[in-house]
Amino acid sequence: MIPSLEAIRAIHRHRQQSLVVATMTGLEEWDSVSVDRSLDLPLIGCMGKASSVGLGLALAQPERRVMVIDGDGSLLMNLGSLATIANKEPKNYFHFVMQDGGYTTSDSQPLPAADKLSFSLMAKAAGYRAAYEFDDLEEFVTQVEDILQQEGPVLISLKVEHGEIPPSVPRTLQDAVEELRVILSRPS
Amino acid sequence: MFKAKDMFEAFQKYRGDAIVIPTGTAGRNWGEVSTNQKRDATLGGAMGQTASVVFGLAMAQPDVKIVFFDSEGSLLMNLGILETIAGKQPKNFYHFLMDNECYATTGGQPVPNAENISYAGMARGAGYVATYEYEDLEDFSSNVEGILSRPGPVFIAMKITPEIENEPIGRRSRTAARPRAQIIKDLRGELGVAV
Repeated sequence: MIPSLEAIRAIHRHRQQSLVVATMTGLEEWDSVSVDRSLDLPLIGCMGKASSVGLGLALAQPERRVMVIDGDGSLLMNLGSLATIANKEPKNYFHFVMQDGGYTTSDSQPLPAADKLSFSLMAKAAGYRAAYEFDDLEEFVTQVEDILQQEGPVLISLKVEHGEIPPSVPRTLQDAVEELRVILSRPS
Repeated sequence: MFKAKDMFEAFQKYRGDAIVIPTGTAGRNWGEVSTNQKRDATLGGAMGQTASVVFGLAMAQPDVKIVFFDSEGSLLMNLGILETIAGKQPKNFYHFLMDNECYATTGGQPVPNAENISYAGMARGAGYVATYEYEDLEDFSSNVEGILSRPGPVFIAMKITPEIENEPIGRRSRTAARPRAQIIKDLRGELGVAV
C-alpha cells in the first residue's frame, strides 16, 4: 500500500505546467500540496466525471499535459469513458487512479470486487497506449518521471491508503474556471 | 464476424431450460429461433440498464440458469456493472456480448474505439473468472456447450455482423412483440413467483 499523500506529492514534483483535474479524496490531498493552484480544475462533488472533463481539456489544449487524479469509486461510475478516451488517443492525457478500495467520501464502504479489479487491465482492454499499477511508493516514485515522458493516454493505478490530510483553502469550481480561462487565453 | 441468427441457432441446441434475455438490434433474431418463449424476456428500450436488470434476476433466482445477450453499445453505457457482477459472482449468470462495432439501432454510428477495444479484457479486468472471445461461428458453435456447463459468471464476447436500421425510429414497422405485462406474467409463471 502507498500512503496516498506521498503519491500525490510525487505526482506534484513532476507536475511542471500540467493542468490538473482532481476529484473526491484525491482532490483534497492534491489541494493540500498544489503550489500553482491556478492550473488546477477542482471537480468538487462531480463524482465520476474527472476522466471526461480531463479528456475535454486535453483535446482543447493539446500542447499542455493534462493530469487527471481520479478515484476508483469515481471511475467505476463512468467506466465507459475509458473507451472514449482511448478512441481519441490524446497524447497529453495522464490518468491517475487513486485506488483505495472503498467509497472514502461516504464512510469507506468497500467497492464491489475490490480484490479482483484491475484498472490497468481495463484501460489496456479499452485501448490506452499504456497502463501501470503500483502498490509500492518507492517503485512509483522511481518510475513516475519516465511514465510522464511517454505519449498518452496512459493510466496509472495506485493502491493507496489515506492518512491525515493537511487543511487547505478550498476554491470553488467557478473561480477556478475563471482563473484557468484567463491563463489559457494568454499566448504561451 | 458472424450473424446473430446463426449464433442463436447454435446456442438454442444447448439452451435447456435457461431464462434467455436478448437485447439490441441483433437480439431480435432470438424471437425467430427460440422454442420456449415463455422463458424469454426482452427489455426493449432499456439501453444500458439491461445488464443490471438481468443481474438482479440472476441474484433473485440463484438456481435458474440466466443467459443474457448484451450488446456493446448498451454495455458501454453502464460498464461499471461488470464490477458489480464480478463482486457478487453469480454462478448462474452467462453474459454473452454481441459486438457489432456500431450503434445499429440509430443508423450505424461507430462505437468509440470499436475495432481495438477488448470487452473480454474489460471483463477480466473487472474480475470475471472466465472470459471468451469469438470471431467466427464454427469456433463459437463448438465451444458453446462447454461454456454453458461451467459455473458463472462467464463473459463471452462475439463479433456479430451489424444489421443497421436507417429508417427514422417513428416510421419503423413494429414487430409483434409480446407486451411487457405478458412477458412478466409468463416469467412469473415459469419461475413460480407469486404476485
